[in-house]
Amino acid sequence: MKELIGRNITLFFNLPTVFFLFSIVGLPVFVVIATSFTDWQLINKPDADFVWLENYIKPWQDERWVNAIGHTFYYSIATVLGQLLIGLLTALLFNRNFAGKAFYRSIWMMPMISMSVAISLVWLLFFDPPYGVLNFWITSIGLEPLEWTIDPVSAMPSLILVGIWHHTPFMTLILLSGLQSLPKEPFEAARIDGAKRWQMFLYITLPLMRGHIIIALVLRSVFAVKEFDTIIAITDAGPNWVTETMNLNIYFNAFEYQYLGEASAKGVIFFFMLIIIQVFLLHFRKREWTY
Amino acid sequence: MDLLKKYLPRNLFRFLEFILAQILVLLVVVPFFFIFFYMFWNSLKPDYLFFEPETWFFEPMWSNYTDVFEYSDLLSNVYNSLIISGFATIIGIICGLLTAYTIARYEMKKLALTILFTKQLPFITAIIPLWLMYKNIGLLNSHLGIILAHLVITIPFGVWIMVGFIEDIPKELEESAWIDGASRTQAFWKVIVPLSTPGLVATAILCFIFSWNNFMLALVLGGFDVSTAPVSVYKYADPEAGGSGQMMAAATLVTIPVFFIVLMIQKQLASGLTVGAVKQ
Repeated sequence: MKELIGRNITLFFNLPTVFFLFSIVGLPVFVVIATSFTDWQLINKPDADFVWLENYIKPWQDERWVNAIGHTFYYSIATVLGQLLIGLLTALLFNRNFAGKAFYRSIWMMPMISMSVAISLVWLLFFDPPYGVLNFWITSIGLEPLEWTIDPVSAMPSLILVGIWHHTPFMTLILLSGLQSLPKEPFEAARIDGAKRWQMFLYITLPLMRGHIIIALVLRSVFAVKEFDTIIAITDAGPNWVTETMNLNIYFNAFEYQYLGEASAKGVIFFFMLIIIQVFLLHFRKREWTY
Repeated sequence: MDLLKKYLPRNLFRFLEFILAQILVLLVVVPFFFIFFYMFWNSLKPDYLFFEPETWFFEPMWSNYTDVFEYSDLLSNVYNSLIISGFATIIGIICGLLTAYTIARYEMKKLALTILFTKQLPFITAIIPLWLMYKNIGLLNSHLGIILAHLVITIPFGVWIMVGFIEDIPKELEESAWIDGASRTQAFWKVIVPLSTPGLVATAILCFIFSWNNFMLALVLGGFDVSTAPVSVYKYADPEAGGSGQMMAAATLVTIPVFFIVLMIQKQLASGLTVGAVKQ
């Protein structure tokens, strides 16, 4: 028996993984594709009929779905750019040596691993228009209070603020590991040539960090596109669906309105969109830039 | 800065640099940390004070915590969460270690790509068919069903991180074990497993945290019978579910354990999170 395992080690070692992943990912993928071709509704139409590609065409006439795609891109691009900016600055900060660095860094990592639903509750109190802390501060410096999550204009920026707060530390970690892996020689050469700090950052650090920045962008945008917890807990896709992203739209479609067929098709579209975004971003990583 | 370095006495310059660094880092860290401070401080606040955001100092009281235990299902849900995340983590790291070993040492490119693929699959796409399948075989609203669903988080994540850790173990150690007459499985148990234990612990903790924090899978698949800690915290998002004090007490209760874990093992966590991210 032992010899058998030893000879076919790659087969036996992967049996459990393949078994579990097949039953909770492989099979469901088949099921979701199959249901996406039917007009199945859980209560109204339990006997599903095959409707060809109708579910892949119908959503594009639905204004809410099209808007949800726009909201998803708005949310993801804004949060990821905000995270990149703050992440880069903090990575540069944590790359230097100062007293208490390890302690500060562990505090810095906390938002990233804290439960997003619990954090949303705190932000919910923060955003509270009459009694929240944010409006209290704003009015105490003499400005007009904002409506935050209640006003359709500021609802999405409020969520973006939460997103930036929640996931910037992960950006910092990846960029920091990039900064620490940089070679020393180019910087010494530049210093000898009399380059200024900001020139070294712009012309040496950033180009050398490109791989890390793109990886960080890919990871973070995929997460931002999939964001669910904070949005459903803070605004519940409201007011008037202005904060409904694709993820929430599919969730409501499947589990509130019970259009299982349509929701499955949207789920498949969502998945392909994620793949396309990643391939698009990773494309920049392979391109060689010359200086 | 360089100018100052030239003209100031060395000790004074050092001191100035120290102060400047502390101010800078506090400017960055404090706004981020304030949310946690606010969460904890407000959990000790009587509810009527919520309507006076200008009041920062008051007599702290613990009754919000006892109210959470009494009026909400948080405690039993934390118990559910511990079971679900615990089993999902154990299965996840065992599968992760075995598969990561074959990927790292036998260069299973196709398998690695498949794992990466499953990692990209959004939960919402997987959860609709899972819900249908569970409904048919009666796994809906059961611990086992949610544990299996949480493997979507723990297995791909476990594999992904463990590959990085195993690649760091020198191949020669294993080869010398083979030369000494150990079989491949023996070499795996005697060399790889002990050497990858620190990485395995970091991976297990990260898997546990991600599974513990996950909200959507239990929300959909657990129904009313088996809900996890995030689901019971989520119930407080409804303004009628209890005052702001209870809300913050519940949030604090689920966040504090994770805090201590991070403070204890922050270095391994950082390496665990980045090693997988960068080595793709």
